Amino acid sequence: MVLVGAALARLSVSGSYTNYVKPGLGIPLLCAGVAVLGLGLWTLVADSTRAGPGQDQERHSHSHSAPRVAWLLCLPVFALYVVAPPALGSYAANLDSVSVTDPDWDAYPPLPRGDPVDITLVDFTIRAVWDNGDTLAHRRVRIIGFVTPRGDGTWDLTRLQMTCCAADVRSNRVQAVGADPEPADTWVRVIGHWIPGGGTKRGDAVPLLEIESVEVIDQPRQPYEF
Amino acid sequence: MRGEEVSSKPGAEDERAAPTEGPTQGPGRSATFGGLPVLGAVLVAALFGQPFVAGWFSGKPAIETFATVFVSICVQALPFLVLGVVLSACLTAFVPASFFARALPGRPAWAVPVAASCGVLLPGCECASVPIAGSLVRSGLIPPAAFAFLLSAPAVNPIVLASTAVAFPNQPLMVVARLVASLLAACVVGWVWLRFGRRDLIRLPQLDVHERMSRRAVFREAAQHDLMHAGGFLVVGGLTAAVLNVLVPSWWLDAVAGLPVISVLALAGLAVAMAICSEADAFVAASLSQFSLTSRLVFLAVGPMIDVKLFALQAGTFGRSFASRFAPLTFVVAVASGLLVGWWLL
Repeated sequence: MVLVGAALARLSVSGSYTNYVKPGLGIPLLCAGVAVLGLGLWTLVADSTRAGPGQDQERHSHSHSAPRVAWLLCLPVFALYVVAPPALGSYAANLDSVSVTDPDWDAYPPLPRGDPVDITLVDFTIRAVWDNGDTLAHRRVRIIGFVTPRGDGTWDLTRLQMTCCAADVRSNRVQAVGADPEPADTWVRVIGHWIPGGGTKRGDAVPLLEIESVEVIDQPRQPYEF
Repeated sequence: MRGEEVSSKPGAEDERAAPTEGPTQGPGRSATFGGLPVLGAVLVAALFGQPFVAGWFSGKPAIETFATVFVSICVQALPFLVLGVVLSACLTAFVPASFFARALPGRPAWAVPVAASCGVLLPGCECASVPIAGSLVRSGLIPPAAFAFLLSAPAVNPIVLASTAVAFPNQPLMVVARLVASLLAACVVGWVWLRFGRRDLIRLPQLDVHERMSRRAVFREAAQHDLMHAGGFLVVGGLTAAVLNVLVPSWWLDAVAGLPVISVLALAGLAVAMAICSEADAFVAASLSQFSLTSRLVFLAVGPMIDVKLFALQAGTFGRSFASRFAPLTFVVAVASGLLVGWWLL
């Protein structure tokens, strides 16, 4: 139990938990880790201060031992530190079918100023599909995402959107036009502009993005969008 | 010399002092379980095997995705599980059994809906509600009421309702429908258990509690015990959910979306298999736009009440014979309730 608590606490402190769950969970994770750690230490101390063979006999007869299933708790810790699973990438994105949710806004606010303007992939996709790209026309945008090859030489700029933890991710993607693909799962910052042709007003539309420049970057601190 | 502390080993990117886990034994013990050597062997293997294991895992995106999903399910659930365990240990240690006799209506049939309504008070993941329900039963609350609370708390708390409202911005009735369907299902299951359930089916693992133990010691004992039981089963549930998450192909979903009855069952089955947190399932349901609203309501009704993670937790807290009866009952009632409310409201 001390092991799990320490692992949890360390995970929250190191910040790599963002690979798995939403950032808002950082503080609860730390609290939980500290609590489990404390409980484990407290149990150790309490059990070790029970002195005398008389007590010992009594406890053995009660078969006070952790259930074997509890050893399974080692498994996530093992997975975490030995395997260090990476943030979800193109494989997970391909598991998901394309589905852009219609936010049904009455009016789409114009993009902020800037050329190029930084925009999230989610935002871009929604505006392109459900607003006919009206607010995107004639604007240069800069988006961060990772590369998902399509298999025919073209690629999609992809980002995974998470609500709670990595099990509920949905993928958002735009088709990149005019640039050669990097290896799958490479994180890139692209500058480009929206071009029509990807389909609109359909949940399964994939908008098109004409690429001006591609810059390979490190995985951002928060790999998922929300 | 007691020798319970394993010397800390550097490596695997942190310097944690390797503690003991598993059965603790008094001084002068003989290794009845041998947990300590096993742990030591595992740590040594981890230390030396890490490059090999990591190398084997990399480059296989399916396995990596599985590992990430598995770890994330566990990591996400653990803070809530800890919260639930702490709260339930407080209940066990500090709340006398007579409290429930006084606080709830005397007639069990009324206690069920009251307990279900109390579900709005416990915000958070479904993982917190299982240990709390366990200690409620231990403290003297009648099981049907405790189960009604167990089922409603993950589904009707404010956070979940708020996230449902955000996920379905142009269908406000969805929030109402979810609330009604979940409460209805929780009450029905509670009443069914009241009528047909047998007390002997519930097997709460016995606490090692003595009369002379202080309240603090009872708290510690209950917390440690619940956490060990629930935590292990959580991992089982997480493994199952991660496997199913990676294996279910999206084309299958697209294919069944149009078929009336199958689509409802498919989403209900998906809700069980995916074990998504109740705060997030509204957004997943919103993204399943190829399905009807009623099917998605069933998805939202079933998910917080029964899924592989919950089943594992329930088996760990109440016993397998209980869980294997309770789970199908909950599933059927939740689907029926979702269908009924969906047909009525949506």
